[in-house]
Amino acid sequence: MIRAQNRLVAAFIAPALFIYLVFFVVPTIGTVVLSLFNWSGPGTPLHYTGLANYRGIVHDPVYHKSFQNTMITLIVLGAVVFTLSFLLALALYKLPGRRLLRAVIFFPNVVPPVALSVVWVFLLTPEFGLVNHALHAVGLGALAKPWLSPSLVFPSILAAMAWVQTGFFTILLLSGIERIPDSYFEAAELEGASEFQRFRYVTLPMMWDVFSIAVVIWIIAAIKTFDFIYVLAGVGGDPPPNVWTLAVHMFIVSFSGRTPIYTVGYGSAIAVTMILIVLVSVTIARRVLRREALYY
Amino acid sequence: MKLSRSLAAATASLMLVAACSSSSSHPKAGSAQTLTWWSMWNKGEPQQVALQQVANDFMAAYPNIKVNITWGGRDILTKVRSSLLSKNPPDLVDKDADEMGAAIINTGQALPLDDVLNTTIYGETGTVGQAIPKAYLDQFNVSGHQYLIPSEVITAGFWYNQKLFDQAGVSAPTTWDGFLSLIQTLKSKGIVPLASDNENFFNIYYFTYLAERILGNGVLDKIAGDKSGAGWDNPGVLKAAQAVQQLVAAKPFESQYDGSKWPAAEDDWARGKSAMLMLGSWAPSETSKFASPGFAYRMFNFPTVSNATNGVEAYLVGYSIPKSAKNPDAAKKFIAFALSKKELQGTVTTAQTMVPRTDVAPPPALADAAALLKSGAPLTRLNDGLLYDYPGWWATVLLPLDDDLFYGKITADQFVAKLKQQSISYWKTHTS
Repeated sequence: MIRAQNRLVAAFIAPALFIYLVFFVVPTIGTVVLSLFNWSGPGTPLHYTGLANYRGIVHDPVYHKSFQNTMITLIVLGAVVFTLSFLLALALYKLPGRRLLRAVIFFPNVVPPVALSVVWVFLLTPEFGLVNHALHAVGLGALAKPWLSPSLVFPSILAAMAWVQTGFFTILLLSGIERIPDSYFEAAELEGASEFQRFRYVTLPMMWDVFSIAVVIWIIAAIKTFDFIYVLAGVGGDPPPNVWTLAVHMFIVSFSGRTPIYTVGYGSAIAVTMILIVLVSVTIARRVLRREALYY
Repeated sequence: MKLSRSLAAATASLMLVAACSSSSSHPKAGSAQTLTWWSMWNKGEPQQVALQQVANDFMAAYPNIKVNITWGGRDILTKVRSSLLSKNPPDLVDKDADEMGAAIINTGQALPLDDVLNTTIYGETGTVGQAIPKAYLDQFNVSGHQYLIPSEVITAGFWYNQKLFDQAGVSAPTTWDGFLSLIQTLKSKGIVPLASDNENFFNIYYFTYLAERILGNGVLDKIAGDKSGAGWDNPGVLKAAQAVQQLVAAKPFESQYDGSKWPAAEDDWARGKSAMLMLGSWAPSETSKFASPGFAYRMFNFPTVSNATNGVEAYLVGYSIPKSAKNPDAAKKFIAFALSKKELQGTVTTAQTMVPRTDVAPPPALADAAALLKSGAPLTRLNDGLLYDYPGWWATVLLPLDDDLFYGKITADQFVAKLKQQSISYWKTHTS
């Protein structure tokens, strides 16, 4: 009986496992192997170079900058997105008509990032951008800046990404809050708990599993950040290296945007470091966020 | 088994005979073919409209060949390279020549097109090789073999608004000092001298042009490839960087130019908000819908700095055929067709561009640019060839440092010192 059940389970798992192996595991192994070679792509010879690509990464200032930008996205933007998402989720939880508001907040996630990026270009352009116009209109013209200039473009991109990502994580966290029975909040209120205390001792612990999953999703999304950077900073060509994330760096040096670099081996080494960063970050996050499961 | 094979062969033969007899009513028809063409142009761009017309005319002339076009945009070579891996490439690709060179010619993935040079152009008596100037063909003649046939010629220079020049009482300068003096005059008349669109590959025009003018044609390219970094000590490099610093210090650009997003500044230039625009000869085509009524497109070559020869940039767009293309003959026929005077004239009119045949008149907006190319001055490569020869170094070392210089974050001395140090470091760990 058990053997038959196992066979049934195996039959159900096999197709997914096969697809996972062929489309995820095998390419990952291929990427690790390619990272040990100097290769310019199809039709060119493969030259084994051992760990030379990794040594190159250690000394590459552009990689250092890409890594720094990726970490800023992961940690700084992550903190902003989760703070805003919690605040919005808590506010929405109590509001009447929250279904409509939820749809509005989630809206940026259903629009392709490329289209959103173009909208942000129009918002941030110095001459006719809405942001600078609005600042001038309310008497804050001194704060109007060239938001897409080399020194401000990366913070501007982060602001745009915060706007997009907050909606998604608000909905995710809200789903965790909504399943907490009202009786817990009522009991806390009767005990005289403040708003913050209710959040700290009721809401957060009881939705911890949703929060920890949201953090893992964020880590993976942040390390893969690509489209917003590529479009917002590179309308006329490739974005400048000072705004590259690891994903953008890997793409440009491997496949070329407008610049025919084609160092596929080096790009593979960058991809391998991205995999390692995801693994390390997720492991740390899971350990830090590990709590005993609460059932209610 | 043998019987079934014989039956299959007989059936196939019958089908072939039927196919031939049904299409033999047209004198030019042969077996039906599909020419798969991946183009760098996007749907709606003037070049796309022009080339679609060429394809339509080609299909009318060769009814047995259906042209299947993918308007893939500027990243088309990324897709082409992926298709090479899957052994399913297009039969024809068009793209900027330098990028094509790096993507498929240098990697041995392009088909030699020597026979196309000897092919008679459709409807004419001369061959492709006779119609296209040798100077253009030679740019992509590798080891005696032709790998790219040019379809468009681009040059670059300062586009200027004649009306604003007249208003300020100035004329096109020929020397760098004259150019700086012109900037001051325009500023004194309340006119913004230069448009700039905050794109690193437009910003780099200034340094590479100045270096080419000071050092001579191809010298900067040699210095970039010198892995010891010694070439960066050449005083001409510092002089070129100092000239960029001098230009930036003169504040010739529109306010907040460092935050502009292409094509805002060039559109503003066409609207008459600035006097000059350093750009390729696609400027009229790209800006015409914003140009004020009666706007006359005028252009002058990048000024001379020393007494070095003042070259003229010739940058090509052209056709190549991947080595593993399934229908190379159809692609070759198309090239010989598209280079006919009639088709090129149509492209010139629709797309406002210059073509590599000297017997096809340029559009009026490109008269100055065409005159420069015909002036007999030595032809130079885009950015002295740096993008093509050292793309990784170009993107990760030169462009970021040049942006720092162009936006006034570092001095010319710091620029050269960093360029030397970072180039040495780059070549220790990179091969291209």
